[in-house]
Amino acid sequence: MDAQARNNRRWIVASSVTVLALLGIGALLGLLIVPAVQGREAGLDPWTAFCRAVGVKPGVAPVAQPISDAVAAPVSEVAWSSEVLTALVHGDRNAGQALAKERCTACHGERGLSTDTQYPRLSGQSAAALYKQLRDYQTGARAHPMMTAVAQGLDETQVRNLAAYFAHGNSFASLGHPQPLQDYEMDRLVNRGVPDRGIPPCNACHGGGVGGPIETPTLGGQHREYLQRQLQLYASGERRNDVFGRMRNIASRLTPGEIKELAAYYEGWQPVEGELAAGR
Amino acid sequence: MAARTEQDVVRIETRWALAMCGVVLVILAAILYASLRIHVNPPSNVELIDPKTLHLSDEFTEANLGTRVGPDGAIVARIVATQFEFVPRCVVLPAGRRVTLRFASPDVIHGILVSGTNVNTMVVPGYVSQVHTEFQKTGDLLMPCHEYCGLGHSQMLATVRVVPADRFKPDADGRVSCEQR
Amino acid sequence: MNSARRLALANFWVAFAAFGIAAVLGVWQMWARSPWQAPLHTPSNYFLSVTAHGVSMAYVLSTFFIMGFGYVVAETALKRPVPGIRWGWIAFWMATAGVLIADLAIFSGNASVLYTFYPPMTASVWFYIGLVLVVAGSWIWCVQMLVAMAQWKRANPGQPVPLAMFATVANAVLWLWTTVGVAAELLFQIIPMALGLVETIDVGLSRTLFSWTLHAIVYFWLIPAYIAFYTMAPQAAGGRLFSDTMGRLSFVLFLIYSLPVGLHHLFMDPEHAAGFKFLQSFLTILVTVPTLLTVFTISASMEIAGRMRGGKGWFGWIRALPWERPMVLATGLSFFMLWFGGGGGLINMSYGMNAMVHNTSWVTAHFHLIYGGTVVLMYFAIAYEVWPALTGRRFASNKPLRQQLWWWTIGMMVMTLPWHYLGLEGQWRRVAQFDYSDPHIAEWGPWVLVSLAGGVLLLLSALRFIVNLLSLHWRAPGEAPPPLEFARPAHEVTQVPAVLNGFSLWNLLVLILMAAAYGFPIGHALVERAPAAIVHRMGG
Repeated sequence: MDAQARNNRRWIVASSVTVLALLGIGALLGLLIVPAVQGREAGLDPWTAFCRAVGVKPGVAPVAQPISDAVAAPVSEVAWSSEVLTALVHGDRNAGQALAKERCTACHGERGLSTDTQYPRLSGQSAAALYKQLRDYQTGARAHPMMTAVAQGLDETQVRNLAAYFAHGNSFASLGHPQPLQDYEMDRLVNRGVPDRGIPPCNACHGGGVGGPIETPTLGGQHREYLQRQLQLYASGERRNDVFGRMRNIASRLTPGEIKELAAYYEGWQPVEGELAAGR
Repeated sequence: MAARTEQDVVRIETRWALAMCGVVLVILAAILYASLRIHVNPPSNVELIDPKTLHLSDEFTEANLGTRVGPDGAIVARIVATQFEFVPRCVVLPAGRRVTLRFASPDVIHGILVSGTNVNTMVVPGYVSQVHTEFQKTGDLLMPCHEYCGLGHSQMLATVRVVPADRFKPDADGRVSCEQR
Repeated sequence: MNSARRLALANFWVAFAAFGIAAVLGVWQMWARSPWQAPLHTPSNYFLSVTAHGVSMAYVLSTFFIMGFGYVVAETALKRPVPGIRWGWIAFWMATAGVLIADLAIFSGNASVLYTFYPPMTASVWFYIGLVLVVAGSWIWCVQMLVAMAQWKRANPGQPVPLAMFATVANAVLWLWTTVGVAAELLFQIIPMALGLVETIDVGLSRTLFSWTLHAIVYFWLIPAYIAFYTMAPQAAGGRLFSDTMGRLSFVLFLIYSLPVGLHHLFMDPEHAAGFKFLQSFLTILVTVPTLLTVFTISASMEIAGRMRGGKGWFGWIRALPWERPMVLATGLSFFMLWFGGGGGLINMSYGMNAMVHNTSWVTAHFHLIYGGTVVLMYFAIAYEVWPALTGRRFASNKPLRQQLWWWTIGMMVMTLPWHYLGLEGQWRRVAQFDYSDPHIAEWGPWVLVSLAGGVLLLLSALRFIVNLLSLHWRAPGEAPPPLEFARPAHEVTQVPAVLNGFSLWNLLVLILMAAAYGFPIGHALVERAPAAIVHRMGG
C-alpha cells in the first residue's frame, strides 16, 4: 500500500509540475519574450511592448501607432446614451400631449395624424427617431423653415416628452410583418436586397428587426409624398443628418421611379390589427 | 515489435508520446519563428472608443474617413462598419508600401477580410480594430463584411483598390479617394 | 439495463428528432446559397433557419445524446442502477421544455441571432430562457454522473473506475466548467438586455465570456466519440484496448486543455492583445496531444483485433478486421475524416494561417467535417451499438446501418471539401444570398452546387438513420440481444494512480490554468469598462 501511496504522490507531483511549467513557458514567451524581441525592431522599450502585448496600451509591438490630427465635424450632434434611451421610455406623456396640442397639432394633425401630406404623420413613430429629428432641427443639422423655429423653442425635457407621447400613438402602421410583393424587383429592394448595387433590403432596418441605428424611423403608413421628398433630399445630399451617410448612400443608388414606388409601398403598408407601434 | 507484456506497452506508448511532443515542439517552433523573424501577430490593438459617440469623434468623423497620408507619413485608411454599409464603400491604397487599416463600428459586431490577402479582423463596437499590412498585387479587391450583423449582412460589401505606388497621389490634405480616379 | 433504459431512450429521441429537422433546414440553406432559386428564400427566413439549425445541431443533438449515452454507460460500466432517476426525469423534462420554448421563439422570427448569439443584437427573452433550461437540465445530469462514480468508488475502494465511466465523468466535469462562461454571459448581460433592464451592453466582455464556452463545448461533444473509440471499437473488433492508462491520460488532458484556449476563437478580435492570444494558442497546441495519443492507442488496439483474426504483415491486420460491424466501420471512417478535420484545426490554431480563413467558408467546412463528420458518425455507431440493449431487439441485418454510415461519410466529404476550397478563395460566411452576377463570385457557383449535392446525401443518410432506429422499435421481440459490454484492456488493470481515478487534482489545475489564461482578459474588462454598445432588439 505504501508503494501505491508513493506512486500516487509521484503522479501528482509530476502532473502538477508539468502542467504548471508548460503554463509558465507559454506565459513567458507570449507576454514577455516575443513582445520584447519584436519591440526592439520598432525601437520600443520592453515595458511598452509588454503593455501592448497584455492589452493595456493600444498598438502591436513591432509597429508604431498611427496618429490622427482630424477635427470632428459631425452631421448630427445627437449622441445616444443609456440615460437618454431610458428617459425616452419613461418620458412624461401627459406633458407631451399638452405641449403637442399647443405646438404640433396645427400642422401635424390631431394626435399626430396629419391630413396635409407635406407634414409627416407622427403618431406611433419611434421615440428615438422623433427625439433625433427634433434635436437635429435645434442644432441645424437638419433645416426646415418652420420646424427649425419650433424645435428651437423647446428644451430637452420637452423634446423627450413629445417623443414619448407621439411614440405611444396607436394609429400609425406598426412594425408589422413584411407584405409579400408581386413585383420581383420591388421585392428585392424591400425584402431581399440587391447586392450588385450595394442596396440592403429596406426592411432589414425598417422592418422591425435588429438592423439599423436606434433612430431608424417607422415608414409604414407614412404619407408617400413625404417619403418621396425625403428620399430625394437624401439622394441630392441636401438632407444630411443621417449619421455616416447611410440614407444618402442608399437613396443616391435608387432611380427616381424606384423612389416613387417605394414611397407608395410603405404608405400602403397595413398595420397588423391591434398591434401598437413600437416606441423605444 | 509485439507488445507482450505491460512493460512493452508502456515503452511503446512512451515512445509515441515523446514523438508527439516532438510534433508539438515543431508547431511551436514554427509559430515562434513567424513571430520573432517576420512579426506575424494576430490583430493586437486594444484601443477603446465609444460606439455611441463615434460620429462625434475626431478620428472617425465622416469627413476623415477613407485613405489619408498623415503628418507622420503613415498611410492610414479609416473605415466605419455600420449596418449595412462600409463608409466609405471604396478605399484606395498603394501596393508595396506599409499601410494601416483602422475600423470602428457604431452599432453591432461586423468583420472584414480583404479577398486574396491575409487582412482579416473583427470590428467590435467599443474598440478600434487595426491591421498593418503591405499589399503585393494591384487591382480591385473585394472586402465583404464576414460576420453576421443583421438581415442586410449579405449586401455589405466594400472595395479596396490597390494601385501601383507611383499612381498613388494624395491631394493637398493627404487624402486619396476612389472618385479621383 | 433497466432503470435508466427509458430515460436514455427519451433523451436520444429528442436529440435525433432535432437532428432530423435540422438536417432538412441545412439542405434548404445550401440550396438558398447556391445559384439555383430556392423557395421561400428571404434573408429573414435564411437567418431564422441558420439559428434553428445551429441550435438544434450544436445544443440539442449533442446535449441530449450525451445525457442519454451517459445513463447507458453509468448503468452498464458500473453494473448498478443510476442514482436519482427521478432527478433524471426532471432534468429531461426541463431541458425538453427549454428546447420547445426556444424553438417557438426561433420559428416565430424573434430569435434570429444565430446559435452564437451576437450581442448587441438581442432576441426574445424566451430564446435565452429556453437555452438556460437546457443547460440547467444538463447540470442535473452532471451531478448524477458524479454521484454515480462516487457511490461506486465507495463500494469498491481502491479499484479503478471503469474507463468508460471515468471518461463520462471527466466529460461531466468538463461540462460544468464549460458552461460557466455562457451562463455568466446570459445571466449578467444578455437576459437583462432581453428583458429591457439595460439599454447598453459591453460587447467585448460578452464575446470573451462566450469564448470560454465555445471551444470547450466542442470537446464536450467529442469525448463520447472517443469513449466509443476506447471502450466500444476494440470490443466490436473482437480485440482488446492497447492501454487503459493512456486512455485515462487522454481524457484528463482533454479536461485540462480544452478550457483555457477559448481565446483562439477571438484571434481576430480587437478586445484582446497578442500576449494572451499567444498564451492560449500555446495551450491549444497542447490540446492536440490527447488526439495524437488516441490515434495511436486505438490503432494499436485494432491491430490486436486484426492479428487475433489472422492478419499478417504490416497492413494485413487492417484487412482482417470485421468491417461488416457498424462500430468498426464507423471507427475507420471517423479516423479518415479526423485527418482532414484535425488538420484543418491545426491550421485554424496557427493565427498566421487563421488570418487567411477566419469567417470564411473554411471555418464552416471545418466544423461540419470534424463535428458533423468525425464525431456525429460515432454518435450513429454508438446508437446502433446500444439500441438492441435499449429496445430488447436485434437488428435484422447490419447492411442498412453500414450503408447509412457510408452515405454520411461520402456526403460529408463531398459537402465539405469544396467548402474548404471556397473558403480559401475568400467566400465569406453567413450570407443569405450571393451575387452570382459578379464574375468573381460566379466562379464559386459550381462548387457550391457540388456541396449542395453532398448535403442532399447527408439528408438522405440522416433520414435513413432515424428509420434504422425506428425499425428496431417496430420489430417483434425475438431472440434477446447480447448484453452491452465494454472493451477490456490488453493487460488487466488492478490499480491506477489516484490522479487517473478521480478529478481533484485536475479541477485544481483547471482553476489555475483558467485564472492564468482568462483572469486578466475578463478581469481587465470588468475593471476598465469598455464603452458599451446600444442594444438592438428584435421586433423593434
